[in-house]
Amino acid sequence: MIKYTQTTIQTPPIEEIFHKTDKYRGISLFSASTDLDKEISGINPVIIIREKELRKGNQLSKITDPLKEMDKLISEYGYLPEPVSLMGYISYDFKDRFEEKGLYEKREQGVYPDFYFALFEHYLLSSRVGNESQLYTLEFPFEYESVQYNSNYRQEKETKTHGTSYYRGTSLDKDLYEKAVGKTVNYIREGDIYQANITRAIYGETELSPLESALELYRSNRISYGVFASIPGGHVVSTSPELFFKTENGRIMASPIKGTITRSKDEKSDLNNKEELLHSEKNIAELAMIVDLLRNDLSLVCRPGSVSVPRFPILMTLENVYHLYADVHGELLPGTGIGEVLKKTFPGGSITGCPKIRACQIIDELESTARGIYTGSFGKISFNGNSIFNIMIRSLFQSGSSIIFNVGGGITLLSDPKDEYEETIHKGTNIWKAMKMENISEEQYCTEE
Amino acid sequence: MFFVKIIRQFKYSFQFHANSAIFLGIMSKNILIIDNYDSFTQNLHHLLLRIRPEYSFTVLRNRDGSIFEKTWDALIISPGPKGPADTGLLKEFFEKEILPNNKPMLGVCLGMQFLAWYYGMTISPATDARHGRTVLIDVKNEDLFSGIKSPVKVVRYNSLAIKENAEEIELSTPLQVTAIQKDSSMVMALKHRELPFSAMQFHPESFLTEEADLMIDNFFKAFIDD
Repeated sequence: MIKYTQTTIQTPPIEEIFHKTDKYRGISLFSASTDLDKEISGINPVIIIREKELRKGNQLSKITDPLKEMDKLISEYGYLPEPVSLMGYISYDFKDRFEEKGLYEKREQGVYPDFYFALFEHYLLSSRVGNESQLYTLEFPFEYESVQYNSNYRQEKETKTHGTSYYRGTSLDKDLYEKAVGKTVNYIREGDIYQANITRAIYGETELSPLESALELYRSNRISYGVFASIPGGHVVSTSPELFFKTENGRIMASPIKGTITRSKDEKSDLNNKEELLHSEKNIAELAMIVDLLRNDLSLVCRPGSVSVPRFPILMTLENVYHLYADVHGELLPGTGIGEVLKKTFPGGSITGCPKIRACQIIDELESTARGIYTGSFGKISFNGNSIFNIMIRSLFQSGSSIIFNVGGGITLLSDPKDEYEETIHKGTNIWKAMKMENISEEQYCTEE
Repeated sequence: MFFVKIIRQFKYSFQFHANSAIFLGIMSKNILIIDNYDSFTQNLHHLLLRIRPEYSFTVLRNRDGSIFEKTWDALIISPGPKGPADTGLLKEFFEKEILPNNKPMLGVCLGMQFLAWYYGMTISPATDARHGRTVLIDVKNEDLFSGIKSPVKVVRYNSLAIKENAEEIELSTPLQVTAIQKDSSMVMALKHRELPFSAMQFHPESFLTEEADLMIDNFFKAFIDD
């Protein structure tokens, strides 16, 4: 039996939360610059599930099916209250473990574990609105190294950082990336796929500490499914805007987004933009494809007849842009654990392409390096079975002073290699601005700012 | 008939099992869905289950040798990547189990291309490839489209198509064209003149295709239901 206590504490500043996450191998899942910013942070991992081992405090045991172990833990500790959860991730490279042998190449990025979930000693549920936060502290019935949660963090007077980052190259340069896009278009024409997401990695060195990187990125963008994590191998910061799926009370939901148009201050042209997006055949077709793909993947774990798309498409109105999206709902088959859901649905269709298996094979062929955690999923599973997982895009991976982030896009039949390359540069801008990266050789290829 | 309907609804709401249908004296059917490593196969599976909840459907991949280990009442061919020649054991299965025994078969997208290809037609990249787009198709009031008003809005996901036009297909194969895209001449559905084979190029399992329930129901009524 795991005992727990719940205390109300004064909400710490985000700097303090990230500091503790950094220091005690924690994971923070957060949103930023939305209406109701909140964070859930796990501090000091006590139970850790990796691909081949289960660690409970000081004891280590070998396992063969980490997803099954995860579902077992969830049912074993079903009495733990909602904010307490298994937090962690599956890297994109883990996909071959869920498929028929031989379909995918075995790829490894090598720096971070491919599979990592933890149950922590402390959970802090905090919000940027209001002054009170809830701290849950767990007491485990076996030997482990405990840490105290103290609110004695003193904020440095100067929170602005002065470090810079330096560009160190990319996995696919302009020529190679454009060739990869061309080959993808060819595969589409030949009937192999309808779409594929082709990405590349950008490498750099930074003078910023992982904590500083996290804070810079936290302030850089509107973030819906953010992550700051200190894991074996280094640190991860995600500014992801994208949900993979969430489950609540036996129901599962995904909300794929496709299509974006900027908003205008002028009322008339704003309305025009909105109408243009709502009638864009290209965007609606791409959204329909991902909706059909998600219907399919959710159907693998849902009661027949329960998967539905109540409205299509739906307009999302944000401060600066309009998006198109749709909700896909389903009712989970009784007894389906989240480990099972992940096994059947991972990786998220929006970052592979469609049909998914052939798209993943083409990605293996055309991308020169393993994706690692990029386009995998970070999330949490509560002990009542509720869960939420993101898609790991717009993320920074920092190991010591070396940093990697990745950019890419969905390639369709009508994609132009040059435009697609430029698009990847635009997608990276927010991250390299936040990281104060210098001498990015790609920027010369941009025709507009 | 009324009884069957009640059973259908009963199964629908309570995860009623096909075996219980046998127990209650209703003939169940064992239907094989060959999955060509596609991402829409489960949509098709659930559509079929919704229309015939009392039947048992099994999804197996096209390289899975266990498709030969059982006797099936019908075959459904899923969509999938690449062309009809890249479908694993499908051709062998079709020749050994379906064709000689006059078993019903429904092909979707790659499944329709397979049928046309089997009878000698050429499958090649189309000038009008579309993915996730709705089109209007003109349908004949027969086979899959009995009782369906033409034109119908359906969803297309295909880069490849039958190279020959409707006339050439009907002249040189035992197949008949039952639907054609309205704004082009792309063949959108086929049936066999004598054998219980029907097929569509579009995707009935897409959430934006209209009248899909009726098309599937037509197939079951014509070839599988007792």
